Amino acid sequence: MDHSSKLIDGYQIPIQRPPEIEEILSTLSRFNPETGPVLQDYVGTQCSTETYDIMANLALLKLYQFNPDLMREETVLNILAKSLTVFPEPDFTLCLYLLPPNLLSTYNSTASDSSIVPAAPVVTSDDSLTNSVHRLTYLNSLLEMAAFSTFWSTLASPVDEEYAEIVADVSGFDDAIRAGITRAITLSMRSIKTETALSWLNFKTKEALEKWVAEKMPGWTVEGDAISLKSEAEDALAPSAVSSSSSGKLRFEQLSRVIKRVYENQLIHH
Amino acid sequence: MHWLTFLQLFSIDEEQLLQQQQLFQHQLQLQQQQALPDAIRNFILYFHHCLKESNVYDLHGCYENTFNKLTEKFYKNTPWPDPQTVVSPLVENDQPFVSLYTEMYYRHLYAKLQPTLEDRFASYENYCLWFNYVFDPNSPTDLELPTNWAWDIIDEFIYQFNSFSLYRSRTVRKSHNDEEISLFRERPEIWNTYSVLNVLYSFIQKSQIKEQLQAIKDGRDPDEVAGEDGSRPLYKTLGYFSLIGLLRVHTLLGDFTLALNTMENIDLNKKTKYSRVAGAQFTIYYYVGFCYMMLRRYSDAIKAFSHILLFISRTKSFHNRSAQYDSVTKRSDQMYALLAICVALCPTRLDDSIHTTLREKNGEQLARMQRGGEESLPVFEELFTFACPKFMMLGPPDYENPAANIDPLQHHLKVFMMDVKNTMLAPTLRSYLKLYTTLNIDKLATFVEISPEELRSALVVFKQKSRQVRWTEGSLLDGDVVNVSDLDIILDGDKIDISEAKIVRKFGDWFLRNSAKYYAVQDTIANKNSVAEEGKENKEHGKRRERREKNAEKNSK
Repeated sequence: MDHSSKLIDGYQIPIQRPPEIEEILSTLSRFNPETGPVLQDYVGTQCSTETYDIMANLALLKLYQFNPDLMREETVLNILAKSLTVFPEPDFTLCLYLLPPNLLSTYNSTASDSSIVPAAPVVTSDDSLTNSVHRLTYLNSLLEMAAFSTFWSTLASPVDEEYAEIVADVSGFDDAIRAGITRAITLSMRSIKTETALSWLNFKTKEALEKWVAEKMPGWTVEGDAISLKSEAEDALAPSAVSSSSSGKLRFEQLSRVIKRVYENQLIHH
Repeated sequence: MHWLTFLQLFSIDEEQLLQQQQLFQHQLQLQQQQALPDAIRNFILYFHHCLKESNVYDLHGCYENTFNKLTEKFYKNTPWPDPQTVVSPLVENDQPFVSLYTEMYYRHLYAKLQPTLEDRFASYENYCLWFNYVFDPNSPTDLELPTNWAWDIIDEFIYQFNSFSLYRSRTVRKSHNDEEISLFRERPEIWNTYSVLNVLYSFIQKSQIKEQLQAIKDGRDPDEVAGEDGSRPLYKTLGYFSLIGLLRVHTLLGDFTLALNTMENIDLNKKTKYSRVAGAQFTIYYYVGFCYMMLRRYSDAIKAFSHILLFISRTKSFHNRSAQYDSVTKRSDQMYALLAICVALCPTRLDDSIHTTLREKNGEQLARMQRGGEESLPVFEELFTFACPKFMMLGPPDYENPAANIDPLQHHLKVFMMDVKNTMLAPTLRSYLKLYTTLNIDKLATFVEISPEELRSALVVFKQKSRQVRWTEGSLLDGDVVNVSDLDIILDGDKIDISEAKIVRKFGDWFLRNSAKYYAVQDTIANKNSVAEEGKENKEHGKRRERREKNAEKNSK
């Protein structure tokens, strides 16, 4: 794998992986408990510098599997929060697979009567890590369902302030999520109502939205009550040819059976 | 003086005791050896001889044919002769041979009988013994094993590791066998994950197999980087298979990224002498496909499963006769189940013969998954549980809180199902979208019976899921984001624009396949007219097939 960057919907997020981390990941040191603190610090760096390195984070979670005593709650939560920022990549899920099973065994998203978006899980455990993992898992499923308005309202929930607390370590968290939502918009839309964009991107004012569009959405403009892709760049929906390349073509050998049969039939009839 | 006499007396006593014991043991051995059928004794002696002479060709015969035939005849439901008391004296305690024999002894026992905890421990210790012998820096071994056998050793080593871990977790969770639990606690080093990984990584390092494969990729001579150990066939082979072993172990532990990463230097499209080992091929594609599925790279998973399933169906007549027939069938059923899951999550046109078999095997389940909705979820769960690898915990279980030891399968199933639940609406959307070229969100919302705002989100998800990373070249984790769906949408405010790529039918293939079917019908009709001759013809047909299979076998050697 090309370790220098990670592909997200065609966007490259650069990874500045220090040589000592590269050394750990490419050798058996990744199983050495002594590298735990190094990788842990690296998670801290990722949080404060808006960088992201899934391979290193998975290696640390693996190390925790081997040495449960080393596990630091804060770091696990930081890793999970960080992996939310690259949705809809499967990173969050990949981290979950490496967590101890008992953290998730009681997780149950509650179906909601009025909506297909599930309600927040009920906080029941007396273990704080379990509860925090449940909260993050819920946030992830909101992003995965593109329930962006609910995502923001949950994050800012006055009832459960823990949500905001869990992601607080990740600097630039809000903007990273906004960038993800922007990717979703530009992938699937030619225009979107300002009202929807405001709530999806969680901006209070139209000015803030306009600033975001100008900076982060090249080719898009705010016009009246909608933001849309400028017309010259509009043919995004070119029907892709899925036809298989070898369609209709046959190799001569494939006909051998037919030819043989014709030949045999002639023998029989004459 | 007193002291000395006493001591002497004591030591004499002990010596006598020892002698008596040895005599007894000897007699026991003789008895057991006398009970040994001549065919078995001769086989073991010849087997030993071949190994000593490094006669790989005859070793292959002993290992692949004679051993299985004798098993059928003498040891169908009982273990082979005991390695220590019976076989070892026969071959003058030749340790390397006894170790290899012991490995086969336990493999047979695991396959045909129920291993006791003692067996599990002893088998592990034998692996340690053999690996230590192979790794001993003072005597780089010139031993050469048939490729199949080397694969079976690595394969079985991981199987027993997996099996032990599952057995231990189960016993602790049920906490009904205190004696065994205390044995587990006393001996945490047995089948320890670190040790197992250590063995596999050591083979990889000693053989320099990664460097060798990289050299082959770059078109250089692998021997340049192989070093003294790496150019020995045994190390090279074990090193290569250890990479596949790691793929498997990391998958079992839930680390799908690292699993694929360990395969980075193996080019799946390239034929090597290892790709002739069918068992290794099945393992590679099953685990690679599974990892891709867990990484949500469904189109890559579908490609991997289709490739190997096609290979299995084409070589079916050959597997029919092999000892691994049952396990091949089970594996391929599992892969069809996984294929069904992937196709449900990512509608894809399959190879026609694969598609036909899939419909035969999992047709009804596939249809239910493709309809989506809440009712489809149990089908996903059922197929996943049936087809997934036997996930295991990395460390020893929590002995103090038996209830805290949750089956990792449940954990992985839960996480996987979260992904599935997010796409529950997709089949319904798809069926409506296919009917239109443009459609208003409000209108579709009334069809699907959700609010327009929820639908807008669902459509974003629909579009996102149509984009997947797909492998084109390089290592298995590489790939480009491509559109994998035949149905593409884009939202323009409240208007949905839809475009569907029409798939061109492969008329040539279709024509040929149906010609063959037509001939079969013709033959049936023709045969009806000559019922008298039918018997004769059938017999001849049978003979012809036998001949063909024999030829196939010969060629594959």
